[in-house]
Amino acid sequence: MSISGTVRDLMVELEKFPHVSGNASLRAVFAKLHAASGSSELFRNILVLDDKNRLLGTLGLKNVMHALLPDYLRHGSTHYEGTSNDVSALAVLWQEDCEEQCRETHKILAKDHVSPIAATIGADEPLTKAAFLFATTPVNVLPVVEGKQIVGVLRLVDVFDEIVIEVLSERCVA
Amino acid sequence: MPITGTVGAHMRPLAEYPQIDADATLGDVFAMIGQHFDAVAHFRSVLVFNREKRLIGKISLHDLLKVLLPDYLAHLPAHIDGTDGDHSLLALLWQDDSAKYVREVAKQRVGDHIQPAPAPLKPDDPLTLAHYRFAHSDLNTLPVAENGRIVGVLRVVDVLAAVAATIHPA
Repeated sequence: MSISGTVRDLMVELEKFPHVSGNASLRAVFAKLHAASGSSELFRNILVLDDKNRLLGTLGLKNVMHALLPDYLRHGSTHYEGTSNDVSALAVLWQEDCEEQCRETHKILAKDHVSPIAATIGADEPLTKAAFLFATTPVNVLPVVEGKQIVGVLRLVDVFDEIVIEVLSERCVA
Repeated sequence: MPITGTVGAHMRPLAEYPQIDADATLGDVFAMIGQHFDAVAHFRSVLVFNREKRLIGKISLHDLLKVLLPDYLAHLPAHIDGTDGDHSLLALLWQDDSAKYVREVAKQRVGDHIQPAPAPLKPDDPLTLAHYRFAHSDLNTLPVAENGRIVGVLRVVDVLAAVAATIHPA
């Protein structure tokens, strides 16, 4: 395998990757994800920036899901009577009010639910380093930096696409 | 469809989800992803079944990448001089010497690299239950079973699409 390219070859430029201010609401996050995804599936991550365009973190689908949970489901609570060990049974109760709660998402701020950045990568670094970081870090996107400036995002799926091509070509050689 | 729906209304039928036999090779997984599915765009894992057609686990894109790592990257080498804790620098070496290693990896059995399958949902479970399970785990897909047979897969992105439809109705 010879993934000889650099991160710059595959990264999505910052302007094309969904990003919001930390003070944006979860409702605005969904609107941004919808707009960025068009007719295809939702983007699975959104960058959260501060008012000076510095990266605060990423908001992934799991962050969003956790933010939407009602208090009685958020902490895997054990102090409610009658649930035994099956707290998930309370999720059935949530059906009653979850629609209303979803409409309250304008009150939830993105910055309160971001995941800190686990790793970044330079635009001119080799794709093998990106593959290593994706293999060893539980992230699906890596912010791409040039100096201290974020210039784009590298997605696991795009790196994996390249690797599939390389593995299959090696398989043909073998 | 809003978040008040059921798992069955939002799951992907099993036939639409990438799946492979546990005795297939890792090379077969890459070939399947590369040739038969628009898999990378929509899926982050492949379901793995045994000879009796029972679901025994899954292998994710992260798992496949890990398997491809050479030993000096897979087993973080604290004993290697000069890396200053930044083992990713060693990834540069990988560019040069990995072709032979990848050919060997491609012959390995898929079943030796899987993660166990999580407990399945039922088609008539409320979507809020799936939301809860996803929110409290690192899972991105959950199998859906009916009468002991796997009939589909629910992805985390399917649940969020339902939430999005509730927040911003079309």
